[in-house]
Amino acid sequence: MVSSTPYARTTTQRAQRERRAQTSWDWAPVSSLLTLIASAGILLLSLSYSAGRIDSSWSDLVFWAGLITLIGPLAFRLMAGRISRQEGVAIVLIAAVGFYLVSYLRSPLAVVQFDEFLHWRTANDMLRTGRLFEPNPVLPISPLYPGLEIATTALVNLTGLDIFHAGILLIGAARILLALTMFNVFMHVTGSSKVAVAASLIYMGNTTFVYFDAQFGYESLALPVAIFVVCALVNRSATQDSNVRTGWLAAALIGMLVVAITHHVSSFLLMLLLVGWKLVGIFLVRGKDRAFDIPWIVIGLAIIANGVWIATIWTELFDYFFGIFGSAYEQVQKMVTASNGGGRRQLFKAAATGGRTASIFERLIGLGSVGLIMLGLPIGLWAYWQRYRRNVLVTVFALAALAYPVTLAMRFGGESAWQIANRSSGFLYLALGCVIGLGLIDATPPRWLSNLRLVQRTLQWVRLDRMMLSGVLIIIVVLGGIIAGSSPTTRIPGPYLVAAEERSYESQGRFAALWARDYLGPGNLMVADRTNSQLMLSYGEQYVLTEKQGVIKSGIFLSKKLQGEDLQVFQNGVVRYVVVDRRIEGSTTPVSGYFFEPWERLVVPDAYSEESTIDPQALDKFSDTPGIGRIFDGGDLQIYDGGGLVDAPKP
Amino acid sequence: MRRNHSDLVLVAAIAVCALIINIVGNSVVAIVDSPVRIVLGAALALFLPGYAIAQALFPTRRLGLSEQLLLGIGLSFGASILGGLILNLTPLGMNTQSWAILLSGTTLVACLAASYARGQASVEWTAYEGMGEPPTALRLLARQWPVLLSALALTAAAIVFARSEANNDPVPIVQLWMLRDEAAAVPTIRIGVNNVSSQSTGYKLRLQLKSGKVLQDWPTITVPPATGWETRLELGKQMTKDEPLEAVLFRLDVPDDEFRRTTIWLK
Repeated sequence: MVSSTPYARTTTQRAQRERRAQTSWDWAPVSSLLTLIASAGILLLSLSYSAGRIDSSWSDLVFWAGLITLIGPLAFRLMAGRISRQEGVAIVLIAAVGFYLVSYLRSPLAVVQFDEFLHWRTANDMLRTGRLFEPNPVLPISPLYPGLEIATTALVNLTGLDIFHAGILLIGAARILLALTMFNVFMHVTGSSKVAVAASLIYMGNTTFVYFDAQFGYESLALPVAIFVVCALVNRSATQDSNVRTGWLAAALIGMLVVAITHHVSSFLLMLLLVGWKLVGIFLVRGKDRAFDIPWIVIGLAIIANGVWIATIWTELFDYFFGIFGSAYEQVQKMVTASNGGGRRQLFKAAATGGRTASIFERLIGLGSVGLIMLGLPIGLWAYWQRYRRNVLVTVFALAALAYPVTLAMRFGGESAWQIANRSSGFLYLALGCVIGLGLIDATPPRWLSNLRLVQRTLQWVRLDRMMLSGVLIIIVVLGGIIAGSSPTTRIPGPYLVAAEERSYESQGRFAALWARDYLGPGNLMVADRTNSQLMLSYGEQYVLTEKQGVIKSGIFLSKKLQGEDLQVFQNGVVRYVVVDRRIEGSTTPVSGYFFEPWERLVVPDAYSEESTIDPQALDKFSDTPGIGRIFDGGDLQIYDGGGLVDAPKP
Repeated sequence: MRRNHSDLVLVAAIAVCALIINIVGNSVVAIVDSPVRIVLGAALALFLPGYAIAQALFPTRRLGLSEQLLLGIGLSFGASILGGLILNLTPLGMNTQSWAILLSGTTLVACLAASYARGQASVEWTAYEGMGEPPTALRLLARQWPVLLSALALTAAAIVFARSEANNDPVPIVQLWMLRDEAAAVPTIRIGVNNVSSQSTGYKLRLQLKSGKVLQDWPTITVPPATGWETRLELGKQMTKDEPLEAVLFRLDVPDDEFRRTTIWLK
């Protein structure tokens, strides 16, 4: 049954026009060509990664060419007439899968992102024991939100694949879900496949889309399922058929439970969105013709699902968030009051040892994308006000989009404030994409503005190339998102670098970790640098010690002599094994900010600086200490056994 | 108009095949790592339960292709993740058999429910505000196939190329290790050399005290690629706890340069 509300009439007429443009599955002639061009872009990216591995100077050029080949034709498709719903789905799917491959091809054989190792460990524990909630020494919250690892375990068990490949399949499926649900939501709330395509492509310009939310991490799964919940509720609201409404409601509730046990931030933000959605429906968008309201039962169940789960794990959750938000608050406060150096973070900061600085092209695109979004935001809000202010969900999106400038300011704060701003973009761009998509496709200028002659001429010109400008804007926003969301040093694979995240995880470290697992057995008390901690934690299945267990590694590794508290941790059996990476010798400031711990230069002030490297004596001291033996020598990597100092118990 | 149940029969049949392969095939080497198992297992974990549940939830409505896909994936995530919580409470825990039974069972039960519900209701399109009838199948014209297959081939080439390039390790990995044999009744050590590289190189190994006194030499050790060499040695009474043992490895092609060194304290 079709509603006869004004909103419905508008969207129905638009949909009828679009349907006239399609007779059957008519997206294919154009979309198959777009698919072919996008595939060529993927091939270029693969070539650029290969060139990067041998440190070729042209890898950057081919990388950007590949990205533009991938996204360009999809964005410019907006110029060429109407887009049917089916073609819209195809365009968004091609882009989503294409960008997933951008991340996958960078490391097609093993996990390389910091968080991936943490979840790898939780999944491996689950596979080893067949049980949930095994403790994770480095990320204690991970086993308490086990959705990602449960689904991975199911795939590993049923396919026989390893965790990495099962994760690739799982996150790939989640990425397809994200594309389909996002397009469906935008299509329903705006009634236009063209707006839905524009909004979805702009969403892909968020800083976490290409890399962070494509990694083997809980947000990569929870975010698509959260949008699945929104999609189910939108579909429910858009029909009067009670059976169908019940079906979508059930789907939404299942999705809500999944999000509640998969990722904390996603579940909180989903709950916030649902509450906001309801409140906007009650207080801001009144009247019988309002569109897309949701029932109280959804709010109630969201609160109960989250409440029950949080109540069981609140101690760990509090510890986790207190650290992040406490630090972010301090950094923002310092920035605002400009005290103590302001705690400010430099944009496009020059990378340290062996790292790369963002090029002028990257800086221009990065800043241009922010500028275009800031320009597009008021235009989108105007389009919202013109046509969609009776639409509850679009109103929620419009309000949420206003938070964008705030997150921009946070990016100038310290590391934690930047992290929060960066992580929020995966959620915020859902609102931002919708609003700017409306601005690109639907906005018409206010009458008083149209009457100005200069404006008239400008508008005539702009109207001619409006869709071309939209295409250019989308390309810049997407490339800008990639630039802001990844380091120029690690965006393209390359030769090994010390403490440089993705560039530091290589086979030598992996095989050392596998040796530790096979010859020492799992669960040994071990300390290592930032890179090898992750490898020993995951592949090595070791109990890697950090400040969470009260072990300060900086002194153990960077002091020239093993003495005092650093020696006592061995004598007391707190630490048994030490992993030493000799490549750290001769390094100055690490690309990722630190070798062992963020505060290492406070603990050992003269350990290294921008000008002076780490003294080899600091790492040689383990060979010179009676009672400590080098039981493993893999060339650059060595493992020392401090068991001679005391008989260390296992955890 | 009544709908036929061919889709449900197909889904149920795939779920049963996946169940059989994972229950029976676990002991058959040919099946354990076969592509068939990967395809069936991935379908069972990522799509089939969700598709069947969606058909049970929407018996009166033909779902569009994209809706079938999003419900299939989304509800399958729900089935596996919420199912995993339940498996954790059972004595079985989460293993191949329990997962196969859970997800196949969910699929089959949902197929039965969908089949029953379809029998009770006639099919109709549900009108959505502003939305048209979505297509229910992917229909491509003959001239579109070559283009799409070419796209698929390019993507596959990109993946194969990236994987082969990532597999080329620039540094040959050779590991020397030495451990005490904790299980032995008399002081015993284990020494080993692991060659993870793709080349076979000859080595010589020397076991000595820190002071330089040589205890034993192995003049030629050949370790083929992707294998290891290991020996076990009972230590005599001349060993003291005040001086560590050292194992030093030399490459035969560069015999004067120490290649790897390990030490161990017998304390």
